[in-house]
Amino acid sequence: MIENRNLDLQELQHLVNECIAGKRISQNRLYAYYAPKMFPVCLRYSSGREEAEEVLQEGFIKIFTSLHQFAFKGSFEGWARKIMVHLAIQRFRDKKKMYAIMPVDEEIVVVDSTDSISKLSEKEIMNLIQQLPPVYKMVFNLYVFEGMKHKEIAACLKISEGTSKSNLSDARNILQKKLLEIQKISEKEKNCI
Amino acid sequence: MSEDLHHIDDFFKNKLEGMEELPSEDTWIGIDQKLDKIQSNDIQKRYQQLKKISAIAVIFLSGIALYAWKGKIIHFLGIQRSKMGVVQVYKEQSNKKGYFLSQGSDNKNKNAEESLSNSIINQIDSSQLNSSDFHAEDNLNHLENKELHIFKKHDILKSKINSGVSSESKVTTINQNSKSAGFSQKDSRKIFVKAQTKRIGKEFLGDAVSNQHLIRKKIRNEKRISTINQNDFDPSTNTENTFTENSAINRTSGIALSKEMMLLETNDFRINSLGSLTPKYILEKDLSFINDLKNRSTFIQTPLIRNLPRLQIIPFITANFTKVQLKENRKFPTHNGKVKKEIHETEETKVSVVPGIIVELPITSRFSLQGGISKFNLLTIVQPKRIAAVKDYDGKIRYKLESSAGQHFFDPKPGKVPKIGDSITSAPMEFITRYISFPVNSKYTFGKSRLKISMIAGAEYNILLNQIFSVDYTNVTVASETPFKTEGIRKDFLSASIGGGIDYSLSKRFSVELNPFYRFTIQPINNASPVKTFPNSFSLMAGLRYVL
Repeated sequence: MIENRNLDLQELQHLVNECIAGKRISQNRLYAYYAPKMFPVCLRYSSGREEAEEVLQEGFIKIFTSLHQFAFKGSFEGWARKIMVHLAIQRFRDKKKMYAIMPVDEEIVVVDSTDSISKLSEKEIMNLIQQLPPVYKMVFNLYVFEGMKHKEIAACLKISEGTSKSNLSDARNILQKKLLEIQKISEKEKNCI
Repeated sequence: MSEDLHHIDDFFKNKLEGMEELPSEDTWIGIDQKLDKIQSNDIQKRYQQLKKISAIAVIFLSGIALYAWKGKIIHFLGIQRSKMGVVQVYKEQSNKKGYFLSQGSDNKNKNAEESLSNSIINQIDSSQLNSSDFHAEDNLNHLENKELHIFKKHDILKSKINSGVSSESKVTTINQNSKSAGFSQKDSRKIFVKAQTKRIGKEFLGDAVSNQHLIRKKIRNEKRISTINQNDFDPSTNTENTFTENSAINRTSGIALSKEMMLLETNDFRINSLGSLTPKYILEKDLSFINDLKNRSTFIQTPLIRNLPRLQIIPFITANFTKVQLKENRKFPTHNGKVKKEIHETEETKVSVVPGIIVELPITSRFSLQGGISKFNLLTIVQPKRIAAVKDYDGKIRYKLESSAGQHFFDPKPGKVPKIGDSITSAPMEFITRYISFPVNSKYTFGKSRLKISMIAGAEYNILLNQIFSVDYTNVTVASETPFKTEGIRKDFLSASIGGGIDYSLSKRFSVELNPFYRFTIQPINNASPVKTFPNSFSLMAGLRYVL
């Protein structure tokens, strides 16, 4: 299903125009090309695959219905990614009141990059992010992956700038802690052997 | 420590950036289903829009009908039993005062305002409702027992009899000029109101009011007063045969009437009274005029001052001299104006002649609204040019021709499947893009003579009907007459028009008109195409107006 080759601009224009015209085959082609790139984005903002697939589904519907607004000024991937992130933020806002902030351990653990950590797979790393409390996850994703400033994050998530900063710090701490645990387990296993 | 934290950021970023993962197959199935739903919703939305447009059209047309019929909107006043059946009388609201002369008590000097409080219906003497009594002399006697009632201009009176005969009268007049009416200065204070009657239902013997209507219709242009014998008004005869061209009077000129004609008037009055149909004459202020009326056996027929606005129907044909305006579509930046240039060089538009019909509703004597339906054809000739094979929107390899109407995909020659990039020379082609238009215009007319000049401005909603294409076989270099498909063309677009009109009246009901106007497209006719096309046209409309 994954199309590995890159689409050139003319091909993309053709595909987009076909999608605007409502051709389902073309819509499926566009989905097949971009879904594997967009799904990890959705995964990062979700707590599991199911939720991520929901965001992806919603995102592609939005893409297909807003395609006429795409003016080929930037990359299509960037535009699609923005839609996914925007939807994830929207979902977070809608469910914000339902999220309970997990108690966070104040202890800060410094982690050294070791072999065991660097060998972690993409899926395992994704799991670590997904396990973060929703607010931390949002702040961490927006700051690290989308390159947003705290001011922008605060505006997006309707929190204060200070909260954004502290949430990011807490998110980092949790991730560090988890990485440390992984490292410890890995060392224990090594010693046993 | 901060460095370490940023190090963590990079660690996660580097690990996950560029990651690709497939979602489950159910995700696409879900998208597919949702898209289906959205598509059906779109269709439903379009249907709803169409319904709204239809509803607006119905409301608009009902408004027109109601406006044209508004003289018949009446208020129920009461019921009168007579020998001929039940008579119902209604009255419409209006703003000018007049007085209504009807049968009743002999109280000529009674204050008119006071008499208003009395029910008109109760004044009608049912014993006099005898259809065999149709003599003018008797009628003068009946005037003995008349009473004045206040009515207003444009009041509508409606009579209905059980037998199915009914009649409606509208108070149409007022302020007769004494000179033109042939009366002395003293009489000029009088106001006469004539109730124009229109009958509904079965023929009613002796309804002389209709006779007057016939006079006005048949002999409106005769200015000289001629003699009309009393026998001519025998209500038992067929009213249409009663009058001749010579017995005419120009109702609009307001000239004086002969005695014979006055007899007709009194006769009318009497018959109306006897038949329990709507009483016809209204006087104001100078109640002594009734005495004058009795002594001289005269009455005055006043001209109609204001006619009801009448719907007008204009079937027409329009010649459209179209010139397309092309604009580059920013969604197709790779073409760099190449397509636009090519279309300019290889295309020309032809004159199209289309029919239509417009309904016009006069709002005032000068201002009117128009609504209707017409066709709009865009005729485009495409000269031969090289066209290349590309994948169409269904994934099939077909030859693509860019035109001002959109992108056309042609099937290759039978048995010869082209490869992407193959090219052929197309034959000369003609595209006809057909639309159905719904124009709504406002019109302002100058002049009241036979020749009128007007200004018209409005908008049209155009819906795509179909697209036809034909090939010039005499000069075919490469056969490309196989079925084609146009992509990127819109299903509807809006346009506006501004222009003038010359209207020459042939008769009371018919006139011819010639309207030159410029029609400019507000929305392009295509969207998913490298060029946006705006077919602007200079149009010449010739029509025949019929006043209903």
